[in-house]
Amino acid sequence: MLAIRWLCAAALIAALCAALRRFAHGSGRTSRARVVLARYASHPSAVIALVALIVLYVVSAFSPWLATHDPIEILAQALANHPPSRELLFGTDFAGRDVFSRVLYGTRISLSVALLATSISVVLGTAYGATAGFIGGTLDTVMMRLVDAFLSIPRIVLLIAIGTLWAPLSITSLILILGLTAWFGTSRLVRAEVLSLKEREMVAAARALGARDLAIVRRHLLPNVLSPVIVAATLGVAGVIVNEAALSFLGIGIPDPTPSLGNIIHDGTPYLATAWWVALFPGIVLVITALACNLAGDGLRDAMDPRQVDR
Amino acid sequence: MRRLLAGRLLQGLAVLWVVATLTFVLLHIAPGDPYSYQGDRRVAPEVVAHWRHVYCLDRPLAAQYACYLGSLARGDLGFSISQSRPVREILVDYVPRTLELMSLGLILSFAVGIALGVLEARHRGTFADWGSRGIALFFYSMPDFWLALMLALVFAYWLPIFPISGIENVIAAPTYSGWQRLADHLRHLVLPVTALVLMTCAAIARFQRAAMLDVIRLEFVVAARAKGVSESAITRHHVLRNALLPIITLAGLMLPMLLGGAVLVELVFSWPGMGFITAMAVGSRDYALVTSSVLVTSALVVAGTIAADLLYALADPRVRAK
Amino acid sequence: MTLPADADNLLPPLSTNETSGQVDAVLFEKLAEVGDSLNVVGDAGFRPSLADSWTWAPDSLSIAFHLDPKAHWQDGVPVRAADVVYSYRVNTSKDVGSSVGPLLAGIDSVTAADSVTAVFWFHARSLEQFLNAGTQIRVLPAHLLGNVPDSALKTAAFDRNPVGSGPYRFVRWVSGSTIEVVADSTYHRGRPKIDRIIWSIAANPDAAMLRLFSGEANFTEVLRKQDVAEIGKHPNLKAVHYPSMTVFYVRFNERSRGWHGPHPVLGDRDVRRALTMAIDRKRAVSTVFDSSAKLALGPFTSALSTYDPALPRIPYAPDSASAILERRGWVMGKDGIRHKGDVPLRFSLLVPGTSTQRQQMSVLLQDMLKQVGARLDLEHVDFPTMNDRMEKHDFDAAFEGMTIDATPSGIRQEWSTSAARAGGTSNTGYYSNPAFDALIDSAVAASNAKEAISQYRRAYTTLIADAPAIWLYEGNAVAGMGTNVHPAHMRADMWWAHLADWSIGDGPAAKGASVALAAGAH
Repeated sequence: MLAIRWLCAAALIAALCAALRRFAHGSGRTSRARVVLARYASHPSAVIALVALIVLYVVSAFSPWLATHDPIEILAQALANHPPSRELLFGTDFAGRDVFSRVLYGTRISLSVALLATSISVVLGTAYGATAGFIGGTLDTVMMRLVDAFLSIPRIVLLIAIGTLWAPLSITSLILILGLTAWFGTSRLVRAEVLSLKEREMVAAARALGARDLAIVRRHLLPNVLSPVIVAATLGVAGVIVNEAALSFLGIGIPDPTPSLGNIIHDGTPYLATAWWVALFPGIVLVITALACNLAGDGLRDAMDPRQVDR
Repeated sequence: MRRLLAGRLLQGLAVLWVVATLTFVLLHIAPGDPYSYQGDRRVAPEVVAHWRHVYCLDRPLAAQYACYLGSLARGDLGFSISQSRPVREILVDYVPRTLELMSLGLILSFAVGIALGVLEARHRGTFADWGSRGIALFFYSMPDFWLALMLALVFAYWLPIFPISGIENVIAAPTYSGWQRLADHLRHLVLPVTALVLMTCAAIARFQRAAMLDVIRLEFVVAARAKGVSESAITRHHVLRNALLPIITLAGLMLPMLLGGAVLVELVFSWPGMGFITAMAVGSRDYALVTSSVLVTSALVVAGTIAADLLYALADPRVRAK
Repeated sequence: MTLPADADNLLPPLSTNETSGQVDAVLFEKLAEVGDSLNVVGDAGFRPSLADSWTWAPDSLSIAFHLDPKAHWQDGVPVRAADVVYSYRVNTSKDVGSSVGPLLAGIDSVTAADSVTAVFWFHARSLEQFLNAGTQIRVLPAHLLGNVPDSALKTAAFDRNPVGSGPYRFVRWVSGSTIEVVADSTYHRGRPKIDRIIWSIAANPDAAMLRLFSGEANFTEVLRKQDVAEIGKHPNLKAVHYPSMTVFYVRFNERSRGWHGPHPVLGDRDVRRALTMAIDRKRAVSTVFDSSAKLALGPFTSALSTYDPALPRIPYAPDSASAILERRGWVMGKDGIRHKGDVPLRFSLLVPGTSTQRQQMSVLLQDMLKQVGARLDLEHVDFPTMNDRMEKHDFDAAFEGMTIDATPSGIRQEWSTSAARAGGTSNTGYYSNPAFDALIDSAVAASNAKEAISQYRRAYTTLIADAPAIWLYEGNAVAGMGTNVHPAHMRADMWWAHLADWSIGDGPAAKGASVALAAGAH
């Protein structure tokens, strides 16, 4: 029964990939999106990364359907710290919960948290950077020194401090905090881009024609900063998912019994010597996720930036 | 040049002031204070009240802030309540350990990263290039704490070769000679430093590779190649020399990443350094210690950035001329 | 996050953590020591330490301690009564803020009758006056510290390089790593058996275990379930159980958060009893600990003289739990949670995130309560937050571990109605039963021990039946050590009390020993 479900999932993934491929190589009007996709598709590693991300997304979206057990159910006391077997693919943790199902659900939670947090950070970073870059002057200096200050504190220190001081964090506040501490880099990037765009003719022309600031920002600046922002966001997801895991690993992230990749590792750490599987498997999923995001981000950067020469 | 330096220093100071204020506010608006940390033990309320009074904790926030900035300006970092010593003394003990870890990590990861980058650039497009980049990126994507855990699993539990905690074998250390003691200390450094190097060398390798490729396309390299100079000589004399400069500036920019990684690595490997003491200080609401250790960390980062800027300026004649 | 147990300050009046306490115990001496019976009333069972004898005044309002004339500071200067007078003054000084200070409130003054006789004068007679005078103060060298102003003691150079009169001399302290002491061969009560003791600070239990396995340490204070199993495989290591004075339980807040009226769920005694019945404590405890862990019966441990294994307890009976909840109007909803009107049967539990074992057990409790239709939310917080929120009564339930007093009357300070005051640190859940208060009062006032014990047991029965908490387990005290380590008696209140009598190796050729400490294992 479960095998059938997994086959269905695989078919869905294959269909999605095929659709993307057709779109990239399809005939007809060559839009910018299509050019980008085609360039992206020419990087084998980036394509693999994209497939991995789609697999992760589908698997996590259908985790209730694909899991072999209830992720928070305590199976039996005798099954605590049970090594991986046919029945329990990734073994069980100290309480006797199925690690495989917990990893499936945990991936879903971790991915959702990371995606939401990254959205917050991207919106905030773009708005902040665009404001500073567009208005310029003293405001720009003050705003950027603030960013410097935040960037000079390692993000994990900031997160540990906030997570410890305001424990326990609900999932909502965790997302907010991860998002609110991840935008500094993006804002720098956007500001730099806006500064260079501001000097270009089209902006000067629009201004000469009497366009209002807001309209200039919306019509000319934002569309042009989109590419670096998308790249930053893709790379940002990797950073956020790892930071969330680190917090949960330290016991100040997502609370029990809800699984997240980090808190499964947290549960496995005291048993590293005897029940290594609890800490190992969620970590592998984390690495795959972060690796795929990094590769996809690289691919996107190459694909979207016309100045990039193929290396 | 001097004006540039003065300007950057001033900006750095402003950044540090913002950091100090931020940490202060963050700590003081959070619930609890240094005296709510007694574990499960109960200390008489009158004793707690006495100490709260001594450390101004019963005064309004503004007064505490003034008190804090005042002593900071005098160079007094305050008194750590949880460690019961002046913060300065604690930093003297703990900062060098983090610097040791970081500088070893930085040197090794630059050595490995540059070597990888050069090799990748020379053999660009080959299987070795792809493989090396893939493996480096694999470690780069690995969460630092999990990498540390896995190193412990493999090299301490499965193959008991290296210790996973502390700075020396305390029971045997007094009987060791100088060299034995150094060897023992290095053995304790192996796993944490390995974790740091694996984590960061990918970024350096990629930067080095890109810088090499930029130079390779330049005319003088093309000319040298046309003249029939051997590929390895080109790499040595022309490409590497010109590609090394930008990478030096990278060292300053790598600091935040290394310091952040060091926090979790120190926690996993019980390395008594800055990250370790900061986490401990947060856990016991030791205001003075938290603010100072965060301040020291960001001062390191700021100093790194300024150094990178200056190096860059020195290397670039256009900036130097100003 | 588990964190290190580095010492804070080695000057006894200023040391507040356990590691400092352990080191202080071998560097400094008290006038007398509590005996192994842990009696704290009168002076029965107390052992001489710095004082080799004492005399009570006929009216019991003063006690004269006669110092051992052979006792001397490690710099050679003899210990004198003036040192005792100085130590008392420091411990009660406002500028020092010693945590011992409040315990000395019953003492009027301390004087030196002659160079080796220190006299403690009391305001009034009390059962614990000898305990407070003889064993709360560690005597300090007045000739080294006398010139330091009280307010400067916390930064004195002495704190990092202490000189005591105890069995061991201080050697070195490497912050975050090591504290080393060496046997003082001229110690007045005889040279200790172990040459050298090194505290090796391990930030987490795994680190401590690995040091034990690799021979980097000979002793670690607390073993977890998995460690006990692992130690069995090592021929050179053994696990030693010792009594504990810590009891772990889930305290209910019987009033609503902030104490505005009764708690919507936990204010009802029947509901609390039903929730207790839903917990299979035996299974929960055996999942987290090895088979040696003891179930707790109430806010005391089996080390206490008033303990009775036959005390009634609330049984594990999930079916009756459901029946009771049903009867009290909590009806099962579609979501698997019971409701009464629109109030769900749901509450949150404060769990210290630094304690792996409490965290693990709370997951099991959550699962068991789910079976009877109660939803438990876990709030992982650290100790400062936990204490802060309990003081503000901003909690539903809290997973506490409490080290109890050696005296049974301590229960009054924690569970009587009078102990429950807003903003107070004791009875934070507002347990109040006049019958219990009366029984405790009569137990404390009882004229003989037998009468007292029977009153205490009646009080315990009342308390347990009211279910102000789910009593879970007694501190699982199992130490790991090399087979060549021979610990002396490990006292329930402090296992290190007789560290000077421990030995290592066979025969008189004693070798060095190190103690690896593991924080956060509880």
